[in-house]
Amino acid sequence: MTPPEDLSRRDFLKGGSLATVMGMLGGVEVIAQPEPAQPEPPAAPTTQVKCAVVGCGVWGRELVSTLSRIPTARVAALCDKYPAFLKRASRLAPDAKPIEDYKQVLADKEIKAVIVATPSHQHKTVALEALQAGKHVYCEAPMAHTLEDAKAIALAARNSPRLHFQVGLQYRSDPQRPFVLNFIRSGATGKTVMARSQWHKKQSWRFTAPDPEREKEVNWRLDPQLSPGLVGELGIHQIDCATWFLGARPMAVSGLGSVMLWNDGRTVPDTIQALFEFPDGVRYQQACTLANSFDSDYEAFYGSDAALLIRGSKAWMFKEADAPALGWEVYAKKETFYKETGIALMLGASKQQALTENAVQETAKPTALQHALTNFLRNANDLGVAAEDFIASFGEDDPKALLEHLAAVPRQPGAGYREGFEATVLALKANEAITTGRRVELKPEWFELA
Amino acid sequence: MKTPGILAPALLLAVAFTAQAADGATQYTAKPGSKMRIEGTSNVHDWLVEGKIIGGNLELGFDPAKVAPGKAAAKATVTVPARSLKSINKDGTPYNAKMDDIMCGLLLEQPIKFALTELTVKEAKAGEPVAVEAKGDLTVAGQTKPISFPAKLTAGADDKLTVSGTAATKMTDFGIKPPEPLGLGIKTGDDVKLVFDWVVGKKKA
Repeated sequence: MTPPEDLSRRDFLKGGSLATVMGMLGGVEVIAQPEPAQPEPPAAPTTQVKCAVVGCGVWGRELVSTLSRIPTARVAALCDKYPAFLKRASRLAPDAKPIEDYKQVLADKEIKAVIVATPSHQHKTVALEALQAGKHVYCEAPMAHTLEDAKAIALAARNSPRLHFQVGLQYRSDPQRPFVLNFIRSGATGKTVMARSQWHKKQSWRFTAPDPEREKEVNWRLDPQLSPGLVGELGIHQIDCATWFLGARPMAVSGLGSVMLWNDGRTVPDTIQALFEFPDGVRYQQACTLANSFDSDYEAFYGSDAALLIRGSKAWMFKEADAPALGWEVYAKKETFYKETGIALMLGASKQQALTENAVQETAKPTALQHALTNFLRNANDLGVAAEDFIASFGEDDPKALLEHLAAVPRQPGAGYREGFEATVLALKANEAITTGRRVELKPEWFELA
Repeated sequence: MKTPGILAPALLLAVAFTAQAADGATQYTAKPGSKMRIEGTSNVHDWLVEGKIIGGNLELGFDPAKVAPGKAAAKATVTVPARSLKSINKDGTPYNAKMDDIMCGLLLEQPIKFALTELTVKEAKAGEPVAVEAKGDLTVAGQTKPISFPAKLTAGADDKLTVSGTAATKMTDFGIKPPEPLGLGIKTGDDVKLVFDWVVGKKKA
């Protein structure tokens, strides 16, 4: 049986795309123009990138599953030291070679890219060695469970300009996000006054295991020494979005957390609130809980003229009555929202999935994760062939020119080491504020990559 | 190993002489700094594609600073990897990865090649670029056609030479049907211009 945790992070990242927003009225849907149907290009390059997924837990398997839907991905190897995880992942990528030791993956010259989906505290070892082995790296977020490890990864990525390094902050790759951001940047929402996000899901975060040793290992998220907490494991995506949209780095963070439901001896809170203080008095509030699923997840940005609500790849704008007319909104699609009054009783389907035909159509769209992995593979391939072509034409006598050439290679959107590091620092410091109950002033030097 | 200072000028002189081939021709090889641009049209807007890699070799049987008008001894082979060409906006920023894919597909993922067969010096004045007319065989998408175009040879620093020019051609000359992207009535024009600045440097021994 698939454990309920199988739905957690995946649902967080795509569940929000379902159009079941409750308790609001008259939203103007803000949605990017769908890309027109493209004709099949004649003999279009479909260069596949041989890649490996290291870490085949719940999220690692979600990555494998997503990669299986991407034409440019060729999952050549799956790696996990736990045979049961490896076996489950192999069902999703039967042609991939199952390998228990990640060093064997890195030694395979044919594998060009490595997707690091191990527990967060193991990212550093795998990511650094992968870069040293000349692999393009997709490192899941958070980059690490400590600032030191995150910095070491970011510096290694910065010092590997011939390799593409991307962090698993997939909202950065979703074309809908920059489209929505334009409404803030253009002033359509007025003066930004505050922001808020939430991630709500009822699940334990605890996995069962055949023996105590494995039980401890698989439940690293409940180990206060290793766990970045809810804010680090899940909230980091929304923190990254908030700093991106607000266009600033917060100056301080405070927070509170408690074990409200899952009293199984854990000390890692199952319910948290964090408050980030941005310049000009703007505050961003984040709430995450494992104790209640009401209203799922969203981000909201509030301006003096309008509020923006984002759920996964959908967004709505709610204008104030005294906001100036923009003109186009007269013709825009509008959705009337309503308060949830009941629960759809359908086995195996979330209440959101059960509601409308539109909801079903939404799930068929590429997810933010699909965009992120597609872009990662594209960038890895483009950077690789750019280096090959340059060296074949000019040799390696002029490394400066090679680096300049590679720096100019167009990249598809994705979170780089800088964005990943910034978000990781913020998430880890927010977790520190939550676990200590102290307000943490965010020192600029924590964000420096010396 | 340290080179005694007194030997350094002698070594440089030796290198300069070895760059001059035994038959008097000077060998050049491609250097970074090149630019190849394809300019095209459509019934919606013009389009641009650009690459920074032009590989190959050039052999000149004359000194560009002293050459006189008339036919000149020269050989050249030029290669532009198709996958290095990227669509751009007028300001040079990337345009669209899908267009890159379509174009790379149209080129059958094969490099654009040019082999020089004849070079005629049209005008040569001291201190100015040498104006030439180049003839040769252009290979696009695996099909080869003769082509001629005007170009200029400009001497640069560090024994570098830039060959600049514009060659007009048609997609259909090379068996390429002008694409109609998006299926919305958009049609690209058959005519394209290849605008290039090819930087070469004297080969070292």
